[in-house]
Amino acid sequence: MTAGETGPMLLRVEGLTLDYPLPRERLLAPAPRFRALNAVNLHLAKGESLAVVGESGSGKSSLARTVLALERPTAGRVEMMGQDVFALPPAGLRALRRHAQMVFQDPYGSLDPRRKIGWTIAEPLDALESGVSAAERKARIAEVLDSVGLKPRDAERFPHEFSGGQRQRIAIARALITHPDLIVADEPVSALDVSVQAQVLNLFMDLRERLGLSYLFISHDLAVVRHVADRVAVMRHGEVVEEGGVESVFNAPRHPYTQALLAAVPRVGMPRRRNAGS
Amino acid sequence: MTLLSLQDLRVTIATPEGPATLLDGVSFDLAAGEQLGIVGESGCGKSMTALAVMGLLPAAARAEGHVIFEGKNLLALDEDALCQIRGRRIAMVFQEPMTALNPVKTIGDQVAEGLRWHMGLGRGEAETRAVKLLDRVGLPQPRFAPGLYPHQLSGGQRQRVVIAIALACDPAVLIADEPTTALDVTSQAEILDLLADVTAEARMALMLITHDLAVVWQNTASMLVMYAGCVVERGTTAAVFERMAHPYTRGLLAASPHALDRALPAGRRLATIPGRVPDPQHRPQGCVFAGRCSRAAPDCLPGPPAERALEDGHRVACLHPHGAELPA
Repeated sequence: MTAGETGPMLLRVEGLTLDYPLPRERLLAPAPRFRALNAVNLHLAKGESLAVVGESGSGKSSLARTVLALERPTAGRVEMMGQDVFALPPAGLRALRRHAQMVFQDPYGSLDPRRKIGWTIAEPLDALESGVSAAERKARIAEVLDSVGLKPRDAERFPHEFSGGQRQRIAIARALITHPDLIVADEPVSALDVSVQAQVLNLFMDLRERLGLSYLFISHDLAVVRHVADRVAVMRHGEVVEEGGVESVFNAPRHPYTQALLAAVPRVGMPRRRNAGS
Repeated sequence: MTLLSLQDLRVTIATPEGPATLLDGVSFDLAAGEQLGIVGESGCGKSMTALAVMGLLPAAARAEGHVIFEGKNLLALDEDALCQIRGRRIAMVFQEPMTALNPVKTIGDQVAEGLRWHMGLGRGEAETRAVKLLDRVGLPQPRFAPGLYPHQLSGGQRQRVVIAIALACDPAVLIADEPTTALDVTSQAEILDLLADVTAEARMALMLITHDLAVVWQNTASMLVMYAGCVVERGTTAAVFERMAHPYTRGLLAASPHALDRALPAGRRLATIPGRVPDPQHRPQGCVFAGRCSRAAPDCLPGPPAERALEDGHRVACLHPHGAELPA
């Protein structure tokens, strides 16, 4: 559970602050800003899995995007494999991106409907690695399709031929093709049905054991992350309000917000708890 | 007293590959003031059942059977007659509050629309009522003025507006189709509390459609489990949860990450139901669940299993249900 403290550090986030400009309200006054992340500190060791939990608007997706250098922070550092990602030249950042890939929430929106999935899966490879021969490219596609429980010949099919769960497997295959160390998954199962959700969560667990992956797992659902994460960070209004081992946060939440979040999850066998505020 | 009764409702839709059966003989009764949960995965026919009751089926769909509400078969009514019932006697809360609301009309106008249309209220009177309704659903003045637009509200607040619209004409039946799926857990708990309060106050019947067994457990008195267009298990919520007779019901609970009260031991995996819900065009001949069922036997394949009674109105459509031996 706490293996993270000792292993080599894969990701270190220090004082990360991100402001988004809001529409200007007065002509001469500076545009107001919205602070999406406020001095966030996190670390993730190689092979470790960290969940970031919070409600919509808590900043968890902004965190995921900033960690992958898709947003430029207002202040703070993101260090991946010992390198400051915002100090790197473009070529260095491209090289680093091979090691960190993303899986998005909506498997319907994240695959190009007009491309065969083999093309979609190989896109990170084509963009980030040069000198890959056609034969190797094909072998790599087959390898990742096999990893996620699909068949190599599925590469010739189009997204509409797959169910939601299979599409999310395709999105995971695309993330795996550059042999990354870190996968950032933003709500990867919340668009899926219950029975399929369990299949995809199990796939995440299998891949981690087999490939030694690290996960940054973003979710609004504490129960989902319980089984795939070692540690959990609870976010609210852009700040991490509580962080700890997943079981200790579950069994003995310290922050009132975490307690409220846990109490709001409906559970079979428990009577409904009324909300104080409603 | 039965308020709404579905009898052998069958909905087929024309597709390029021929007609597909979306609902295959769905029957149930809803009494005044009853809270009925309908649970199942997407593609199981939960929403289609709600749309059939509302008379909102897609144009290519054909419905057979009976949907009896206050002595009338809704399937036989023309559009004018349906408009007298829809929104007035039977109202619906949809899943996505952003798409259910009109982005270019104020929330006050949208709540007042039904009052003016169905109750013939004047502009001023309708707005006064709309303000009261907004207040009732937890959007008090002056913070939530009726002149606000949907984009100025959060997801949970928008869903409260949708509920206010549904409540406006004091309907007898409220259908809530995945009302909290698009919301955070804390908003979900508040919206479910609100639905329970407003329906109990007016003895309104509630049809709560969800994929989450825990939501059904905490908010309904009776429940139906649907799979591939059929009702596979039904009964009081307490009885269904006590026995979980149908293998699909058990599988659904076991696969839910909420079901476990501790983390999985290292190397263990969540329980899954192999495969997925069959498409309407490719539904198997016999029991629709047999292909994914660990208890399937040769006798499941020839024809769909008939529903049989277990105890006290608990019924299951399965030849090999879990739990106590069935009486022959």
